[in-house]
Parts: sequence; structure tokens; C-alpha cells
Amino acid sequence: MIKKLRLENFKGIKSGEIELAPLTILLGANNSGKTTILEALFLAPNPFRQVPYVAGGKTKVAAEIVHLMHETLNSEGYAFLFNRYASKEARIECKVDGEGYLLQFIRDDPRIYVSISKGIGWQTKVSNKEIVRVGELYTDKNYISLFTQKALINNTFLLSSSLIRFGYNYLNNNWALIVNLGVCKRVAEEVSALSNEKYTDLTIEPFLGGRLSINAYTRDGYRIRLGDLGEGVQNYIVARVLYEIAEPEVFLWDDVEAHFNPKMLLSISEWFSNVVDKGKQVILTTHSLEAARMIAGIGGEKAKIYLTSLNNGVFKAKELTLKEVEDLLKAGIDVRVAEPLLL
Amino acid sequence: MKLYPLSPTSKSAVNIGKISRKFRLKILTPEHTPLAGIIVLADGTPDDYVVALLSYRLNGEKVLGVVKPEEKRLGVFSIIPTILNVLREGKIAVLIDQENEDLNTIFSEVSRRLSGIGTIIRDIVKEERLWVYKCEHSIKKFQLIVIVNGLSEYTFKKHSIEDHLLKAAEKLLKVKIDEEDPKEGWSKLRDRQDEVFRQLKDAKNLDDIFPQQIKGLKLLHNNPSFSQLYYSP
Repeated sequence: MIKKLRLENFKGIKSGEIELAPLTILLGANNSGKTTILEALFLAPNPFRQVPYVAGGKTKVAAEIVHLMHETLNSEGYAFLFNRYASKEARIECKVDGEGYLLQFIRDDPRIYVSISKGIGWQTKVSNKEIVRVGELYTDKNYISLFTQKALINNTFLLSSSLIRFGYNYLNNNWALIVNLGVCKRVAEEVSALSNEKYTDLTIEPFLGGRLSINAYTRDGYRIRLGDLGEGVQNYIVARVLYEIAEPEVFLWDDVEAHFNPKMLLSISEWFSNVVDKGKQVILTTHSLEAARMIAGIGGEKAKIYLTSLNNGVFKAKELTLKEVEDLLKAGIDVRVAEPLLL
Repeated sequence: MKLYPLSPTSKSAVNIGKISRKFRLKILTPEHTPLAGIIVLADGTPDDYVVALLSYRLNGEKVLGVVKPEEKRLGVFSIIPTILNVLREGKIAVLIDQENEDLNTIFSEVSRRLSGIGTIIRDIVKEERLWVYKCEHSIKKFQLIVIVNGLSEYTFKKHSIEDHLLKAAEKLLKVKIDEEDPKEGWSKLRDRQDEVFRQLKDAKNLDDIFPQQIKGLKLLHNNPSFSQLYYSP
């Protein structure tokens, strides 16, 4: 389990740290560092490991996925990993099962050396410092050089509604593997319990025009393309299947409540608790107090809610029990609004 | 003064936003810190409208938080420890209707409930419907301003914030008040309530319409020390 994360000059966070529980729910205002925490955790095990996401016809590595998430910034390269695009070194430190671990991005424009404190790499001297280099990124172009593709600490997997389409592409490209996992029928049945339509399986078949598409197969024998189902149902199906493929030890989900009605969110909350009961870790972000209360309530003692804030690059997180959140609500105080006052 | 509702989706926050927009009061602020104090609405609506209007009238740039707790009336005093979590230092003002209770009964019940939550009362400055408590709760020191809504000049069976709104209607719109229940009287003026609020926004002097509310909110806004309260006129 990753018990603690400390960041320095990583993206919007100049400095900050957070303790992590088996089930951690990050709740906070917009731009309070929640997504940055998930991205750091996603990169931490090794930015160059392949993840089950396909874009431009190719399976991507973790760093490319984080790059894609920031594509709207309309810039190439990885300078965005550094605080204010100007820092010389970004650090992601984790405490994993009592041991320290460090991932560093060290800048020597246009090169960004990626150094990891565990595993095999190339001894390199940068600015008179010896580092173990496992790869390179570039500030001026989207290029990666690979040395290893393994996760060096607990493998993490990041999901968000903006990443679902890349996950869908992966499922499309790896259908045989997915069918053989035996997860499709189970997921189809789970979704049936949450929807008015009853599905028995997920299939991949030619659609009009002959192109393959993923379909939900109904009890009545109809096929409905995954893309034609409601967005919540699509996201749930893709998330469940991707989780089985990635088998992460730490599951990260950004804006977990997006597209889900309370019934589906309840089912997802139960799923998270089951994942945690199996010894895995789940770390989520949300803007929804309703979602945070539901997930923490079902998660019980293993769940912790953290209220996050980011002020002048300083990230803070305050642990709140579910009771404290409830007491504040009873007092007419919404923690998401009172966050700067509580921290 | 500016208002910062601590639960923006609550009915009271929406009402404050509504009246602010309708009458261009511009009293809502997204700025959260530092809060000079927190206003607790023990009865909800139309107290929220009144607080919005008085905040506009009191002018100033200080930011006050507003909450409408789930608990009603005297039950709101149980949430003071929770409120102190978000208020590092400063003052809490509670607006509460008198209803059909004796004023002494209300204030002694306030003292009893404060003791019940472990709050120590160090001193009290008393006026008819406005009591200021100097308190300590755990390591926190704070002032609690209890404002009891109602006007003795009316012989209503129950007293509430509507006493003040009916007086505004009487004074500013020349409406004759002959109801026994102020809530009913205010409800019957449904079609003219906006007119009352509009007049209140621009009226020259509101001190005789909302005497205890204006004084209490000024204490919250102007932040005099407790000892100064003894000598204030």
C-alpha cells in the first residue's frame, strides 16, 4: 500500500504531502490539487510502463496518457510536469509499505531525465549529481525513450471519463484477451441490475459498414453498441473491464461521480469496498459530497475523506471523518466551501 | 458587509442570492477569508432576506459567513462547537424568533444550552432583545451575539422577524396592520413584499424597524472589544 505521497515542484504543486488510506476520497474545490495527486501516483511506479489505453492506434505508456490529459494546453513536450513550467526538478516521493521511493524529473533542456530510486537504470551525472536514469522525456516535443516497462512499486491505474475513450480503443484492439478473462458476462449482468435493459454478455461484432464495434447483448437477442448506451453505463462497463485487465494494486479514479446516478454510484461504492477488502488500494477524487459520503459510508473504517486545498502552490490535505462531514452539514456548512477555513 | 453562505446550495443561500440579484445588492462574495464572523439563522426564511438587506445597508467590506443549520430555534446552539472549527477567531451572531416565549426564558435556555455543550460564559452584556455573551469553548474564545426577533410595540401572540417586516410595511407603505399573527400578516402581503424590500433598500433610517438586528450585526461587523460594549450608547 502507498501510505504517503510527497510532491515537490510537480505540476501545480510546489510542495505538499498527503497520507493515504486503503480507500482515500479526495474532496475539494476546483484547482485544489486533487487530479495532480492522482497523476503523480499514476506516474510513480514508472512513467514508461504500458497501460491499457490506446490512442492513435498505439498502446500508450503512463507518461503519454498524462500528456494526453493535458493536450488542451496545446503544447508539445513534457514541460508541464514542472511547477510553473520553470522548475528544474520535480519530485514524487512515496512511502510504500514502510519503504521510501523517489521518482524525479530532472531538467536539462530540451531533455528531461527520469530517475527512479528502485530498479535498474543508467548511471548518469546531471548537474554534478549522480542519478539512475530509466528514461528521458523532452520539453520541446512529445518523445519518450524507454528503458523498462515494468512497474517498480505497487502498480497504479488511473481512470477518468476523459480517458474512457482510450480504454475503449484498447478493448477494441484486444478483444480476444478480454473475452478469455471471462469478465464480460459478469459485467453485463451487473449492469443489467442497474439498468432497465437486461444484458447477458458483451460482444464484438461488425456493425453497419463492416467495422467492428463492442456491443451489449440483450436477453432478447438484440445488440446495442456500447457507444449508444448512456454514458454512465458505458463508463461503468469500460471501467470494470479495464480494471480486470490492468489488475492494479492501486486504483485511481478522477471525478468518480461524473455521469453516474446514485443507484450506479452505490454499486460502484460497493465495488470499491470489495477491491479494498482484497488488499488493494483505491484513491478517488470527487466534487460531490453525496458521492464522498456514500463511498466513505460503505467503505467504513478503511475509508478516509481528505479535504484538499492549493494555495500559492502549497498543497494541504485535512483528514475528515464521515461524522465530521455530517456534523458540518448539520451545522449548515458544506466542507467544499469551508475548505480554506478548515485547512 | 459581504456575505459568504457556507452552504451555497441551501435554501437560505439561494434566497440571499435571489434577493441580492433582484435588488442589485451585490452582497455575495466568493472571497472566503478572513471571516469576521458567522451569522446563524435559527429560523431560515424570511430572516435570510432581512440579513441580505441589512448587510447591504451596513455597507463595508468585511465578510461574514451565513449558515442555516438543520436544527431549528434553540437547537442551533448545539452546533456552536462545529462552527468554531471554521471560525478561527471572531464572533457568532444567532438570529432567533421570540415566538410565544418569554424573553427571560429564551435567554436562560441559551445559557443552559451553552453550558450543555461545554461552553463557559465569562460575561454577558444585556439589552432587551440583544444579549452579548463572552465565551470560551475548549481553547477558543469567542463572542456570541444573540438577537431575538420581535417588537414589543405590537401585541402579537407570537413575535418573529415578521414583526419587523410588518412595521416596515406600515411605515414605508402605509399599510394598516390588524393581524394577530405576524406570519399571517406578512403572508397576506405576499403581493407587496417585494415593494417592502425595495423600500427597505433605500429607506433613510431602519434603526426603529430593525433595532436589535442592526445593532447586533454592527457588533459583528465593527468588532468592538467586549469591554467597549459596556460603554456603548
